[in-house]
Amino acid sequence: MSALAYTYRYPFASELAITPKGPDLRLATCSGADQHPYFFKGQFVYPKQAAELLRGLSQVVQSRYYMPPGMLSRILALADPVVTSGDDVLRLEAFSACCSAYARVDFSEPALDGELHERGTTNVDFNAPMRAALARVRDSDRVGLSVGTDRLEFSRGEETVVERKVSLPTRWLKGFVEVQAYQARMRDRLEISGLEARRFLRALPRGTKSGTYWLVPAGRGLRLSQRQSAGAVPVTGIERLRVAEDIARHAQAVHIHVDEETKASAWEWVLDGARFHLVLSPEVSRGFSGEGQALAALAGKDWQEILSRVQASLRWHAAIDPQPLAAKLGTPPETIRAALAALGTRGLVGYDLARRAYFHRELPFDLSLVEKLQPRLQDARELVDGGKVRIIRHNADGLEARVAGTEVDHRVTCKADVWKCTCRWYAKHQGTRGPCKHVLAAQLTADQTGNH
Amino acid sequence: MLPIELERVLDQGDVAGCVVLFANATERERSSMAKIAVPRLKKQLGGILGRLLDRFGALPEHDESLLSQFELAKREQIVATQVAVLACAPLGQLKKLGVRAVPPADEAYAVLVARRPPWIDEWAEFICNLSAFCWPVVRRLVREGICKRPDGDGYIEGMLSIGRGFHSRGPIIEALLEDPELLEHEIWRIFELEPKRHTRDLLSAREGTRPEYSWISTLVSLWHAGKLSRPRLLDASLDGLHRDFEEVRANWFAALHERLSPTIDERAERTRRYLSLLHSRNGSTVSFALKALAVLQKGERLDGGALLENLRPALGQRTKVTVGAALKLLGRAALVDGLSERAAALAADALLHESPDVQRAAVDIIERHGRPKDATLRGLVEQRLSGLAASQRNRLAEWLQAGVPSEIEAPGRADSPELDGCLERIEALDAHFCELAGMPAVAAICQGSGGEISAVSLAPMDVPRLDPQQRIEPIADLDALLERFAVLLEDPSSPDEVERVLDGVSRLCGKPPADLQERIAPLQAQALELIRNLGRTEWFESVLRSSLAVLAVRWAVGPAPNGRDTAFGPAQLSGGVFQARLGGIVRRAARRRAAPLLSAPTHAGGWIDPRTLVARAQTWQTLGQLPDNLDRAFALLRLAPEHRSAALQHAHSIEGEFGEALRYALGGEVESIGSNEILWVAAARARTPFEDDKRVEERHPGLGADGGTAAGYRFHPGRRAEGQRMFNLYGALLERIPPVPERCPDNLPTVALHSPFTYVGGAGLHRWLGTIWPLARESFFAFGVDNIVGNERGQMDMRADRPFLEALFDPDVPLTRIGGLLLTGALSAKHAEESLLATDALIAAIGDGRLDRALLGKALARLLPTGLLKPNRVAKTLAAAAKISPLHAYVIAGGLQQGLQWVGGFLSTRMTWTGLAVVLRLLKELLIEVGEPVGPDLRAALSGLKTTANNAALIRQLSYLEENNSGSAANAAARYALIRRIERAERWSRCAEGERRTSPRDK
Repeated sequence: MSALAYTYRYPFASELAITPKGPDLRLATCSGADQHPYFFKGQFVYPKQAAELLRGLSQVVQSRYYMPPGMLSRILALADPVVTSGDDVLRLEAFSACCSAYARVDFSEPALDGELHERGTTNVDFNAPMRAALARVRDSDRVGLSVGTDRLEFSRGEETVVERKVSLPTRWLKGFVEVQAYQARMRDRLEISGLEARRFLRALPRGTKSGTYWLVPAGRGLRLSQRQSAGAVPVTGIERLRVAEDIARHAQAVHIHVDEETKASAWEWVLDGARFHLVLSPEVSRGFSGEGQALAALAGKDWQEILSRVQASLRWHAAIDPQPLAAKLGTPPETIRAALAALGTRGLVGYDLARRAYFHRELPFDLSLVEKLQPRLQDARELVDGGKVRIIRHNADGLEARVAGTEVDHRVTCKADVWKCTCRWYAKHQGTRGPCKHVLAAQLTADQTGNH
Repeated sequence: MLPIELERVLDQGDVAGCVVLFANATERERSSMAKIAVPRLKKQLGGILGRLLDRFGALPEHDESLLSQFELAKREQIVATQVAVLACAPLGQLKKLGVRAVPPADEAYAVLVARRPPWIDEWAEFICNLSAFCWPVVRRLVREGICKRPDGDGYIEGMLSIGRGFHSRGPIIEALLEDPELLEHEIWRIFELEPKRHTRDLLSAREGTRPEYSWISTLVSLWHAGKLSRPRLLDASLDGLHRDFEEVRANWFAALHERLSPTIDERAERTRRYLSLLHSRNGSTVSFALKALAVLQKGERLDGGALLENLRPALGQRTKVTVGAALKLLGRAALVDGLSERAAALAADALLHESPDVQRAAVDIIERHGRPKDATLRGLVEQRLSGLAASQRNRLAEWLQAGVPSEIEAPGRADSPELDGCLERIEALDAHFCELAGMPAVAAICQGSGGEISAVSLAPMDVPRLDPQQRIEPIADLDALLERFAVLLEDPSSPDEVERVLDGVSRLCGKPPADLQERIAPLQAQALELIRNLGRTEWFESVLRSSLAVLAVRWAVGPAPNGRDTAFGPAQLSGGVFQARLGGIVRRAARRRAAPLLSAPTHAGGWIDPRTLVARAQTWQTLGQLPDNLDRAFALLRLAPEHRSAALQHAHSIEGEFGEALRYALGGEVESIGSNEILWVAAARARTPFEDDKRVEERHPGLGADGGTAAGYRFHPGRRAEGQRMFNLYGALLERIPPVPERCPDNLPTVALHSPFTYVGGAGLHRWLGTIWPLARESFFAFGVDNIVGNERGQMDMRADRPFLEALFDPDVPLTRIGGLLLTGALSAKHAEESLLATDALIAAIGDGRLDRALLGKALARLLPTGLLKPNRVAKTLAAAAKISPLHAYVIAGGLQQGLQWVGGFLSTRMTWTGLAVVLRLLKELLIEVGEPVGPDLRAALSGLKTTANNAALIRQLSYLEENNSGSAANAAARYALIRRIERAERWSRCAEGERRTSPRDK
C-alpha cells in the first residue's frame, strides 16, 4: 500500500472573517476521537507577522520541490497542517508534497493573547480563500484567532460541514515521523540577525539549485559558498529557503541547525513570541521518508519495556526532559531517549529544536500502517525468521556475522559500536541513511541471543 | 443482442452500427458484452498507439499511415470498439481504460444518451480531469441536462482548449457565442483556476498570438459586444491576482486588467485592492500594483497614509525596477505633511537592495525627509550601513554625523586587521620561507613605504608540497581493502581514494587467503551488477566505475580467457589514460601477482616523496621485477619538489633505463637519453616542468606539447563563436604549441593531458587526471579554459568540469597566465554553482596572495573585449569577492582599473554600452571603497569615448573621484596580506619540519 485514505472533516471552512471588531481568523479543526477540538480563542498580538507565518506554512504544504519521474501525471492531494495545543504553545506543522521540507510554526504567549481551552492534536483546514485573505492582514488590524469552535456556538451555527477525502502517500506520513529523528541529532551551528538573514535570502541564486552549498560566516552575515571550509555549514536544495522570504521581514534572529553526517539542516526563525522551523532533507530528491534514521532504535529492545510508561508521562507537555523522566521512571536517560525516538516514529512526539526537547503531540493519522511499512526492518525480521543470520564471532573486540543476501552472503561487522556491511546499500550510503537490512538482522539476532 | 452481432460490427469497423446495436440494450445485456469489447480494445490499443492516445487524448483523424505502419487495426475498427466499450463497460473499467475508452464526441454523446448510466456525473468529472479532448462531449451532456456541471478544474481547462486544434478550430469567441450559457458560469471560473503543468500555457502571457485565439482578446471583445460585464471583469482579474498563483498565471490576470484600460475612477474604486496586491508573493503582481497606484497618485486619488501602510513588502522586492518604482511612490507620498518621517523610515528598508542605484534613491528620501536626530531612523540606518555600496555609505555616514557627530565612526571598513603578535611570528619563521612568501615587501607597505602589493612568486621547485597532515595511509588488510573498494565503486570522486585502492589491490592481491572467494563475493556481485546496468541505471561516473568494476571482477575470477574483457561489453578496458594505467594492475591482480605500486601517491594531490620512490624502486629491483611502463612514468611525474637531492644520492643503485630516467628526473646528469620515450618524456617534465628539454626532444622528436618541448599556448577567443564543439576539437580557445598529435598516445600522460579525448568522463575522472602531473597544472587548466570560459553549457557538463576550478584552490599552485585566465573566465559562468565556485577561488587566490592587481588586470584585459565575459555576471562576482576583506577590495579595484586601462582604445568597439556601464559602476564603487582616483591612462581612455548619456555621466563621476585616504586602505590591505602570508610561511615550515622528521615509511 502506497497511500492512506484519509478524510478531513471540518465543521466549517476556515476563514478570515471580517467582523465589526476587525478580522477574525477562524481555523476549523478536524474531527477525530474528540469531536472538533476547541484549542484556543483569543487574538494575535502581531497580526501581520502571524499571517506571514501561516502563509509560509501553507506555502510549504503546497510546494513540490522535486517531481519524481513517475509522478508527473499524478496529482497529490494537499494535506492540511497539523495543530497541537500543549502547555503554553500552539504549534502548526506541515510537510511539503515531495516530503523534502518540514515546517512548523510555534506561537507562544507573547504572540497570542487569549485562552487555551484544550490540549491535543488535530488537522486544521487551510483552504485557498483563507490563505489569500491572510495576505491582506495589516499590522494595524486587530486580528482574532480561534482554533476550533466552542461546542455551544457550533451547535447554534448553520455552517456547512466541509469534507475532503484525500489519499495521503505513505512516504509522506513516514517523512513526518522520520524528520523528528533528524532534528534530535542536529546541532546549532550558526546564528545571524534577522536583517542579515534577509540580506542572505535576497542574494540566493534564482531558480532550482541542486547540490550542496556551504554557508560561510562573512562579517555579521552569511555568504554562500561552493566549497567546504573551516566553520562552513552545509545546506542543500537552497531554493526551499525562499519560502521564508516574507517571514524574514519579521525575524529577529535565525539559528541554523545541521546534522553534519547527512547534511540535513533546520532553519529556526525567531520572531516576536513565535518561531518558524524549516527543516530541509539532505537532498531535494530525497524526502525524509526513506531515510531510516530511527530504524536502529526501532530494532533495539531496551526501551520496549519502558515505552508505555514513557508514553503515559507525555501529557501534552511542550518540552519533555529525559533527565527528570529517567529519574522518575528509574531508568537511564539513554533508554528514555531511545523510547522517545521510538515514540517519534509512531507520531506521538515531535522535536523542538529551540528547546532541544521532544514535545507531545499525536499525529491524527493511523500510523500503525507506517510502522508496518518499514521495509528494511521487515526484511531484516524475515532474514532472522528465515534463519539466514549466522553469528560467526562475538567477543570483546566486536561482532562478526554472515547474513544471506540475494546472490551472496554478506559480512556484517561491529567494532567500537560502528556497524559495517559488505552490501551495496552500505557501500553507497555508509550508514548515513540508517542501517541496512543485513545490519538490522544481525542486531536483531544478537539481541535475541543476548549477544548484543 | 448476440455476441456474434457485436463481433461482426466490430470486425467491420461499423461505428454507426455499433451505436445502433446498443441503443435499446438493457444494462444486463450491456455488461454481458463487456467481456468481448474490453479485451478487444486492450489488444487494439495495447502498444504504441495506446500510449500515444494516453498522451495526446485522441486518435489521429486522417492519417492512416501511422496505424498501418505498426500493423494496427483500422481507425474505424478502433472507434467501433471504443463505442462498444463505452456502451457496455462498468464505470470502474472505464476509469481504468481512461481516454482509450472514449470515442469521438458525437459517438460518445450518442452512446451515453442512450445508456444514461447512473454514474454519468462521476464519469464526466473523471474524464474531464483526464483529458481536455473529452470536453466537447461532457459540455454537450451538461448543456442538455444529461449530467451535472463538473466541479473540477479539468472541465474549465477543457473549455480553455477551445481553438487549440482538437475542439472547434474556429475563433474562441464563436464557440462561446454559440453556447451563451458558458458566459454566465464557466467563463468566471477561469479566474479561480490554479495552474497545472499541462495547462500553464493556456492562460499565460504566452497564449495565442493571434487575437482570435487569445482568451484575453476574446474576453475584451465579449465586453465590447456587451456580453460580459466590465466591472466584473476588472474585479475578477484582481481576484485572480489576489489568489497568488504562480507568476506565469498572475501575469495573465494583470495583462487582462490592463487590456481593459481602467479609467482613473475605476482604479480609484479599487484602490484598496491594488494596495493589497503589494503584499503578493509574485514580484510581477507587485509591479503591476505599483503601476496602478502610480496612476492614482499622479491623478491625486491616492491616500498617502494608506500607501505607506502597505508599501513595505514592495520595498523588499528583488527586482531593481520594482523597488525603484516603490521608492518613487514613496518619495511623492513623503511630500504630504505628516508622512515624511514615516516615509524616511520605510526607505531604510530599500537599503537592503544590492543595487547602488536603488540605494541612492532610498538615501535621497532619507536625506530629504528623515531627521538625523530621530533615534528610530538612526537605528535603522546604522544597522544597514555595513552592507551599502561605498558611495551611499559615505553619504549616510555624513547624514548620521550631522545628527550626533561624536558617536559616528568614520566611514570605511571596520575589519582592518591588527598586527598584534605578527612580529614574533615572523621572527620564528625560516627566513627562506619568509622571502619566498614575499613578506618583506608587504611588511614594508604596512610600515608606510608605499608601493603595490604583489603576488607571491611561487617557483614550483622551491615550494614544499609534502604536508605531513596530508599523508595517504595505505590500506593495511584485505577486509579494509574490500570495504574501501566497494565504497569506491559507488563513488569514485576522490582521486586519493582511487589511488589508495589501486595500491591496495596491487599489494594485497597475492597469496590469497583460503576464504578469499567467500570474502570477495559481495564485491564481485556489486561489480557485475554495475557492469550489467551500465547505461541503463548506472550513469554516474560510468568510465571510472566500469573500469574499477572490471578490476574487481578480474581480481575475483582471474584473467579473461582471451586477454580481453569482451564479456563486459562497454566496460572492457580500452583507451583512455585511466584505463591504460589500470591495465597493468588488472593483469597482475588477475594473476594474483602482488607488488607495490611504484606510482601510488604518498601525499594527497598525487604527490610522491622522492625518497619513497627510490625505496620502492629498490624493492622492485630486489624482487627482480619491472613495473609496467606507465606506472614508472606516473611515478616520475608525481615526484614532489623537495628531498630530490637526498633521493638522488640513494638512486645510484637503481639499475637500467628506469634508474637513468629517475636520476635525470631528480636533477642528476646522464650520459645519454634512452630509447623509452615514455620514461624520458616523464623524466624531462618532472625535471623542468615549464622548460624545453632539448636532449629529450632531440632523441624523441615531435611528440607534441609537453613531450620534450614544454607546452606553449596561443589564445583564440574568436573560436568560441565558431559553433558547437565535439569533444572540444573545434573551437578550443587555446592553441597548443607544438600541436598535439591527432592520435595522441595514452601512455604519454603529459601529452595526453592536452587531448580532449582524455577528458571523456565525469568529475571523478577529471579530478584524477589533475593528480597525474601535480607539479605543472597548466595543461589541466588549459583544458578548463577550453571547456568553461564563455561556454554556456548544461548542468551535467558543468559538474564534470568542477575539478578544473577546484584545482585553483591549491594555495601553492601559481596562477600564471592560464590559471588566471581560467579563474577570471569562470567568474561569468552561467550556472550559479560554477560562478560561486569561481568566486570562492578568487577569494582564496587573493587571500593567499597568488593573485594581485596586475594578474587580474591582465586576465580581464584579455577577456573583456572578447565577449567571453558577461559584464553583468562578472561585476556581480567581483563585487561579492571585494566585500571579503580590505585586501580583496584593493586587488579587485586595482585589477579592474588596470584591465580597463589595458583594453584602452578598444573599449568603444569591443564592449556594449550597457556592459561598459555595469563595469564602470562597479569600478566607481570599488575606487570609492579604497579611496583611489582613476589613473591618468584610464582617464585618458575614457575621456575619448563617445558613449551614451548614462555612461558619460558615470565617466564624469569617475573623473571627479579624488584620492581619499587611499594610504589607509592600502595599509589595511597590506596588513591583511601580511597575516595571510605569515600563515603561508608557517604552513611551509610545518611541512618542511614534519617531513624532515618523517623518513620514508614503505621501504
